[in-house]
Amino acid sequence: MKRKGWTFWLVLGAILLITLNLPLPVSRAVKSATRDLLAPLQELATSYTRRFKSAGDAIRGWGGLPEKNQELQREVMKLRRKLAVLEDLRRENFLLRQQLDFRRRSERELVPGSVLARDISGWWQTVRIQHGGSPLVRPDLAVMSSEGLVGRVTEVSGRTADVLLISDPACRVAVRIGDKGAFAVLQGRGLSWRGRVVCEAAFINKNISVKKGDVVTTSGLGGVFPAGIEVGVIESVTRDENNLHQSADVRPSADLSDLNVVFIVATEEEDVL
Amino acid sequence: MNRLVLWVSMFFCAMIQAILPAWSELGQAKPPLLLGAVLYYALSRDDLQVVESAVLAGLLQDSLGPIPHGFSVLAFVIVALLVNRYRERVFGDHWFTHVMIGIGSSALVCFILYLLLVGGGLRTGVGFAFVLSKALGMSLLGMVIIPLVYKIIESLDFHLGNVSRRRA
Repeated sequence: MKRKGWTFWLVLGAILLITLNLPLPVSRAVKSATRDLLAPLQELATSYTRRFKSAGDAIRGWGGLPEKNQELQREVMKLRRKLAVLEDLRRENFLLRQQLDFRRRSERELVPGSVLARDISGWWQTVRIQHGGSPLVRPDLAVMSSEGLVGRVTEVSGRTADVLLISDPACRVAVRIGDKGAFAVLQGRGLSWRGRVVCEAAFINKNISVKKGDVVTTSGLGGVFPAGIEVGVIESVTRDENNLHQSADVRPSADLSDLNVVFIVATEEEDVL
Repeated sequence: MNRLVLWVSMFFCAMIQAILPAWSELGQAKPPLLLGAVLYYALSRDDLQVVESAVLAGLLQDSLGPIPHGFSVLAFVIVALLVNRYRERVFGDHWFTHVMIGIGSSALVCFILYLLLVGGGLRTGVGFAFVLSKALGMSLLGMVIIPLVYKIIESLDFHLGNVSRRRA
């Protein structure tokens, strides 16, 4: 066995010390450059993976297409009815605000992004998305899919952005439950053994009735997530040991395990009516 | 050509590892492709290339995820040097060695990263049961993936003339 000389260990020690103590701007620049370098290749590989997956899904689900079609038609009918009600409410809200001389919130600007990859190490619940170099994208912006809240932007490079999913324990969201004014802090609990996303809404006022099926939306408190984005539905409610608060398991509306296209909520400016 | 194969393998492994989903049944373990490439160099090359491969793989893993720079580099360098040091005591070319090294080194990398992340206050909400399941998951995946990665890079090296004969 050949013994390594002291110069080897000296150089190795220096390399390790330098990499472990990289200044933040240098570390960010290295990460950004690596992500941008690999983004086109990852996009290519991801598109082929999706094609194979959809071909497989089509073969597997061939027999269930008529049922799926009927289910979607029912969903469309339900959504049309809901839209009509919401349109009436919007009109009424607009008139009331006009009378009270309120300011109207502008439409949120949504920057679309396609999912390229997930966290390489598996220690975090993140996805990397390609945002097409939009200058509006910056850290701490909310990210949603057509179904509901997905997470928040943590790091941005020239072409890509990293999104911390709401299923990650490090992601906390201020939420409102149902229409009775119950507020809570939603925290991710990772994935269960069966791959189901688990989130917990904690610190719910014990005097407010919260039940299974209540819809959870963002409350707008904290500044990162704009109010009114659907997060999920309550699955079960428990009282804490000291009977001071309630907590609830929340099933996210967005399918976090199968994300393809997401939207970054870039601005939420207020315009004068 | 030797260095080209090293860099291409590392970038390719990093790209694929980032795309592949984590296994929720196995503690969110990801197939350890980068570790497989590092172990190939640790078992078949000497000092400088062993360190070069471990540092490059670590930098790629750290750059493509939220892990701070240096954590994966340290984990990969420790494992690579350990394997490199004891490779003459085992049948370095045999598939069974790759399987056993795959199991052990995957778990070791998992525990080193856990200690670094907890020490740095970055994953305090992660319980030890999760880490055990992740280490088990990484070992199981490493058992399959690492011999496979070894064979692929060895075959590439052989076809490009970097190694004179294909080993068992």
